[in-house]
Amino acid sequence: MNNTTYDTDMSDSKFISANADGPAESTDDDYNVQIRDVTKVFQDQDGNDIVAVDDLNIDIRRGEFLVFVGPSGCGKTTSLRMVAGLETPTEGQIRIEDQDVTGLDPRERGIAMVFQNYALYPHMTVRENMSFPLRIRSYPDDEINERVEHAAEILGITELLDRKPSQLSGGQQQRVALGRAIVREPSVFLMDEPLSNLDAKLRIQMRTELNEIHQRVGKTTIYVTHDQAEAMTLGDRVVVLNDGHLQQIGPPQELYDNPINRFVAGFIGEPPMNFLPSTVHEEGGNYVADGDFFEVTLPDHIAGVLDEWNGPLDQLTFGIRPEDLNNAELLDDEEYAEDRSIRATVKIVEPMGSDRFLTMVPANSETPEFTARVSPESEVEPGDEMTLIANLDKMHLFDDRSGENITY
Amino acid sequence: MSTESETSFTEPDTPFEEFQHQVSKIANEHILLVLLGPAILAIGAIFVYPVFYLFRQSMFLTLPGGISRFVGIQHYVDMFQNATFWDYFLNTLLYSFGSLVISLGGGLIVALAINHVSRSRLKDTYSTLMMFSWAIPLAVVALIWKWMLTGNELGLFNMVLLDLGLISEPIAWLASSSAAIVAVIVTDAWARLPFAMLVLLAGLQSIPNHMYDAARVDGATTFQTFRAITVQYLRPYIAIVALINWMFAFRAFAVIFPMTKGGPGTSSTVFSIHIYREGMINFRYGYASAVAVFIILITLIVATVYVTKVMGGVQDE
Amino acid sequence: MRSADNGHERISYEKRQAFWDVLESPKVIHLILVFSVLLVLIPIFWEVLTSLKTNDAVYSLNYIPRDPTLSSYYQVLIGERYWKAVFNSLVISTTTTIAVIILSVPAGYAFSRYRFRGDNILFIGVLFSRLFPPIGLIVPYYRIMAWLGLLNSLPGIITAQIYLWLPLMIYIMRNFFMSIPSDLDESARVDGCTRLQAFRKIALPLAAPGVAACAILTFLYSWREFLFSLIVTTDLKSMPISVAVYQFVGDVSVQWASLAAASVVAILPTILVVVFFQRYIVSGLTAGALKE
Repeated sequence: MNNTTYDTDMSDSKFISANADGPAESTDDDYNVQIRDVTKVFQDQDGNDIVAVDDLNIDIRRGEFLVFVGPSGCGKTTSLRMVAGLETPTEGQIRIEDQDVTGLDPRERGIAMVFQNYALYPHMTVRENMSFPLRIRSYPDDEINERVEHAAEILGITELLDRKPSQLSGGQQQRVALGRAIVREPSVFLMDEPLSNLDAKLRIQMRTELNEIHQRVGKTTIYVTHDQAEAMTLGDRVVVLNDGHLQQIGPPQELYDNPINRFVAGFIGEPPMNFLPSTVHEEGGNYVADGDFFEVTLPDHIAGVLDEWNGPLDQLTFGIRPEDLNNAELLDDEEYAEDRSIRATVKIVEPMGSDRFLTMVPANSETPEFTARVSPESEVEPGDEMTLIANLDKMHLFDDRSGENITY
Repeated sequence: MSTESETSFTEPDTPFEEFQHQVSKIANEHILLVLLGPAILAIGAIFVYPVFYLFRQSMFLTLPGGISRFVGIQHYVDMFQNATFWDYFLNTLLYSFGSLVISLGGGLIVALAINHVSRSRLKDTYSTLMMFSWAIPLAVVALIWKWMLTGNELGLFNMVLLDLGLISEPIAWLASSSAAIVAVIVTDAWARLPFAMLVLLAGLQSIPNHMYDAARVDGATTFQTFRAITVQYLRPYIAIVALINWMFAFRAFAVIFPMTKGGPGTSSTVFSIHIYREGMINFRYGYASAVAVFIILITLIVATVYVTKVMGGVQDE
Repeated sequence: MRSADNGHERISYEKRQAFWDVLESPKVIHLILVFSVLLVLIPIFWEVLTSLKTNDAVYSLNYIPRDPTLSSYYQVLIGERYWKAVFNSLVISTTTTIAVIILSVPAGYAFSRYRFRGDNILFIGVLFSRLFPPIGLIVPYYRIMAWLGLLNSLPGIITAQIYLWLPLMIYIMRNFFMSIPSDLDESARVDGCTRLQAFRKIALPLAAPGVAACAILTFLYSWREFLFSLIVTTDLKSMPISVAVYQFVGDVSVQWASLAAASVVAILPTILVVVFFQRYIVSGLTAGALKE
């Protein structure tokens, strides 16, 4: 499944700081931004220490679009702000263009930032907003105009240059904020959940546009979001954070196919992966995963992992994504396999047009609930019993004690 | 129909309960009358009649013996042709704008300073202490400053200046026609500054932090940030403080009267003092009313224009 | 690659910002604030010091009284019967506050919740009476009170004060009620409340801080009022403090210590109110200033 070699400390797997370089060649050493051993501790009102970011280490390549993703409070915004210079790390170093910028003001770092609330100066026109960083540095007018118009053209807001922010829609304001950043010609773009304030449709449209703009402008970008879909579609590499700790870093597909632990597995992918408690035992030369209501024979590559696994076999959770559960009735005969089948009752049917999401429960109990994503040709109703065939090439086993994915 | 408590949805059985029920029904239907009626009545009763009386009075001349003779707009003509009237106008303008500039400027500086204090308990302490000069009854404010500015050696100002050797003789601050008006302006501003400070402080606290972050990233100096962000967000607040403080200074009476009574001579006489003198001391009720009508018109015109033009414009942004 | 930071300014960022950093440093900030606070406190403090002297001791030109004494207070309160004025002020301010609250709270609620024919005009009328300079009304008011026989009486003053503060309090209460979502009373009505009950049981408790702010502000404003009190009263029996204090200013010579004592007595309640109720005052004043 994966073939890079590095240390996986089994007992401490939540805190693996992995620097996966992705499936490509990656001997490229041009690191634009480096986060080295950065820790940030805050005091709350009672004087207690809150560790927002713990020992973060990331090297970011020039021109890369890196996405920080994770639930609220995981430290992603704090990390971004430390790169920006709006917060100072308690420990560690930030390097930009191979210089230690840790103590420097934001303006000295060659960065530009796009905020979640756009932070447009409300009493200036779009043109004045975009030219503000240049005007305060007394740039000559013709250069200002050139840069502003160039950026406006890239973003498609040239007709809006003389309007005020209050006259613009959310999407337009977002573009102005981007324009203000582009005009500065920084070496790094920082974006703090820029699409969160937009409605769903606009968000998807802007995602595509951001992609286009990044291709055109090509600067290193660090992007923070809580939306895993954004992370997947935008990132060259994605950094998953939880509770201040880096969980995994790698290209989106890698995180999807090969999550390092239960947190990443459950965070990436929508609808999220199913986690079914099970016990693994040997039976007739094979390993069998035995949940309360199902029994599947584990394929050979899993068996190989289990052979080397030292931990208890009765504390393994069976992980399978909804899209890897298929409606048995729609499969050809040779795809059907009894030892990969799961029988359950349909509880809720959600037709989504291209798929059907089924919420399933075992025949005799209400738990565990799990989800299957089947083709719309499945004609099932709530209350029906059905058989699902699991695609076990895509299964995972998670150690209940540490959350680690032993099949990583 | 509903009743007071869920459990007793029964028919009212005593006449008193029936009465209560009926009253509550009527109240519900004419809720506006119940809520608004008393207040509007109170304002109307005290306000409306005197206003009409005022307008009417301004067109009558009161002769000794209590007879009134209709003179039409004669008072107004007298008013505008009287040179001292325009002096009073000037004084009133000087007073109101002078006090406004000092109270608004000072209030802004203090508000900015308080906003920079990091510990919130300290912020509150400073705020509270600054409120003292606002809370004191205006007449007492006047008397406090009158005492400090007394022309003999007893006044605090004179005592200090004499002890420091900066002057050799006590200065009669309030008896000098140029210093008197400055004194009342400063006193007025002293009492109005806390209000300006409070409102501006509220305004400062309403500025979202991410704007300051953006300015930091953009690389603005403190002053550039102040101009681009702080001042802009404060504009509606400054506008409202300007209107309120100016208006109240324009009609101020309680500060000037105890301090100088409009003197020496007429150097610190503003309209309100003039009206008082003519009306209550010289018994020229008609003339006083005419001056009063004049002030009312000015105030209303300025306020209306201000609210629609200036504040309307500011709110649009 | 820091092209955006290589500026073209004549005076460098560092130099200019250094100036502002000094200005914003805690030392300078606290200097400004302490200076401002002293500007506020010194006059008051001087008055307190003066009040601790006797009228003759004032002439001895010490800053701090050599023999601090409360005799001026005694003389003023008992001798000149100033306590009557204190009592008058208490009665006037309390009554005015109660009356204004009773009238303004429902009115503010009505303006915040209900749209009706002429509501804008009525509201503008309310604002109008606030913009109206009271000085313009002193003559008619005097004549009317004389005609009603209410000169030199507490009701004479109270009536005027209700008129003075009612519009502002209606405005403030309206703002407070507007910050309470009307969804709450609407769902109460759906549950079966009458409109009056929705007001009394739902909106009113939520607006309690606003009501408190209005009450405190009305009390303070009423305590300070001078003009109408001056017009209406000539006799100590109904004079409030703000006018009574003024009585100590003679035309020829002034009893400074007595005046100071009287002033301190007048100031004390307001200072106490400010210290204890600062939050309410602030919220009331800002509510009154905003959304104009």
